[in-house]
Amino acid sequence: MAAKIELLKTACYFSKLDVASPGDISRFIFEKKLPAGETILWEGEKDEAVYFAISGLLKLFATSEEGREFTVRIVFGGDSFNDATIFDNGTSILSAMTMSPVLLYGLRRQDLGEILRTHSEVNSRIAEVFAGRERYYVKLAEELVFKSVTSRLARFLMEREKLARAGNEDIRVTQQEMASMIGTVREIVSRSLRELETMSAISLRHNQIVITDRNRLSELSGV
Amino acid sequence: MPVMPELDIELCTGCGLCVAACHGGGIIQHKGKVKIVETENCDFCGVCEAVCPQFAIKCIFCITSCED
Repeated sequence: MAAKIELLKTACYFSKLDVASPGDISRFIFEKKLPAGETILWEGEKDEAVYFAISGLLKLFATSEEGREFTVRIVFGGDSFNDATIFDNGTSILSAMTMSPVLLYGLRRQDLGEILRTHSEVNSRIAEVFAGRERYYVKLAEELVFKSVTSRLARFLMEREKLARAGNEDIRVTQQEMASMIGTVREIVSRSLRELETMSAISLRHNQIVITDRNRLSELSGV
Repeated sequence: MPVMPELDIELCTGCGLCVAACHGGGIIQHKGKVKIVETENCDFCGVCEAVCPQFAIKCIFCITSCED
């Protein structure tokens, strides 16, 4: 129980709770442990719970009628997903799939109502989470509308390489995954990688994408 | 020998689309499924991954930097 309370504080809605509160709230929380590659939620489904990614990584994605996939957001570190369904009683906006083994904490709609009545600080924290989410989605929309695929790919490579350096581990990704994350198809990723190489920002060495000039890559990403 | 695409044999149905698509001879039909064979001719083009209807083949890139 103590471990659960500690982990609950990492969930984004509850990160600013006072000391006594988490124990009070934890009775409403249910756990789900899932392996990598599991689909937790399908777009359009009715699931009246919000989930927090306590450990592991998930991707939230949309799928077109033709079967193309677009990764809208990666969820990790206590971040939440499926929030909209518990506030507007609608269906899931996106599908969710685990990218690694995952521990989720879930909170049902009726229980959230009880928590909001008794813990007013959670209300303001949720508002902060949603404000941050709005900034993220506006930025995403701007990228998709105003930036070219090559520019989005440049930014993607920069961000992933930065993560690799911070975590001291390689980032491994397929062209299909890159396409899904930047809103395009595999063939265009392949072409854009060659374009970035022509512009001397990267070098393609068989299975390695080597960033040879970070400044140039940054310039091309428009950041 | 270069790094080769990765095959998840559990997902492979042996349809052979990847064998036909590979211009480097890096994939062969084998015991009802396929097998990746190491070859210098593999240029990691990613077409095998693209044509596989079961998502059994992955051409995994590593993002790295040569700068300090």
